[in-house]
Amino acid sequence: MIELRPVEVPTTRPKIILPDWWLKFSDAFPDTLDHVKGKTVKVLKQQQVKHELSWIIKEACYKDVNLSNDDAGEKLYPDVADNIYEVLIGFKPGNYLCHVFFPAEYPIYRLDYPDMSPLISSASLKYLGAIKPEDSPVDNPIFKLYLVFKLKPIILRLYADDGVDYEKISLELTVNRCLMQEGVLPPGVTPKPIQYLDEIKWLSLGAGGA
Amino acid sequence: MPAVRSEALAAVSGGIGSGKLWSAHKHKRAELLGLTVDNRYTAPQTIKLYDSFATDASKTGAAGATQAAEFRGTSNVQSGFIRLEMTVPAGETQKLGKEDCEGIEFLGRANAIADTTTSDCVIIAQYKLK
Repeated sequence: MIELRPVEVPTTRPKIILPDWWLKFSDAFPDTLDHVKGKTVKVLKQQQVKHELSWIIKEACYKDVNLSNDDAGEKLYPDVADNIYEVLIGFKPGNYLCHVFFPAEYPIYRLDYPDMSPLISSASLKYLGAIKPEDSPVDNPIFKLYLVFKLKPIILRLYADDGVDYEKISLELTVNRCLMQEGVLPPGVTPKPIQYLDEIKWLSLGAGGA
Repeated sequence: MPAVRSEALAAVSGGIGSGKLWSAHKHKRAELLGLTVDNRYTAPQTIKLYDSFATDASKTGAAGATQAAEFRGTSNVQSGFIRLEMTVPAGETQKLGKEDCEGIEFLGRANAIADTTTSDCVIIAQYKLK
């Protein structure tokens, strides 16, 4: 799941998952993720871990950052089935864009018309669906990813826009590590829904899954 | 707001050979807030502030052609990126304030180089990592 609130929504402090919260994983999670698919869980413990990543790249160039635990990845995924990582990503100011892909080469944010996908090499389509640093600044990171064990890699394509010669792209991450346990939802409690990324990507109702 | 003082030297062939103003921070860029150049030499000196860094490998274009990592001043500061250049008359001191320096940022290590190796220019810089 992914969250990025529009900038016009007033925010004070980003809400994060806390102990005793209930989460409801969508039925649209694939069978390969049967440790969470359709399950209702209670958060037992939580810990926040700070991390920073940065790269210097030339203008009009991009870097694909794999967040998964793959060999070439940044290893930000849980390594056990009973954890969920809520990752808040804050961008330091700069003239760059971030596209989100899940899995690789499949953009999360796109429009319905076939050509309306983010395209780095296009003067106009590189801005389509792009997250700008001011959308999720480090002092109020509203771009969140919900990562579970064995989830396919999420790719952040970080692009230094034209006209900067070189750009330092810096991300401040807060990994909210949560220990969860399956349970029966108490009456009157509304769980936080955790959707599968494909549901957001295709605007599906989640009935059929990926 | 840290302040740094350095003797600006001309680059030495094959080496850094410059006055380091401050070190690079892996995850931060530095904003120049102020600069003082005291030229104690007998001739005008042009001071260059170099931004020295190494880029990460990346990709470019529709085909995703690999853009190899570049070394801008890692082994030879003369290949660094010039962020500021000013000429100071002999025996004079010139200062730049916050308004003059606004928008001048360094991605990596800041180095100061004068025209002449033995120029004895003293440079004082104020900066902020962010």
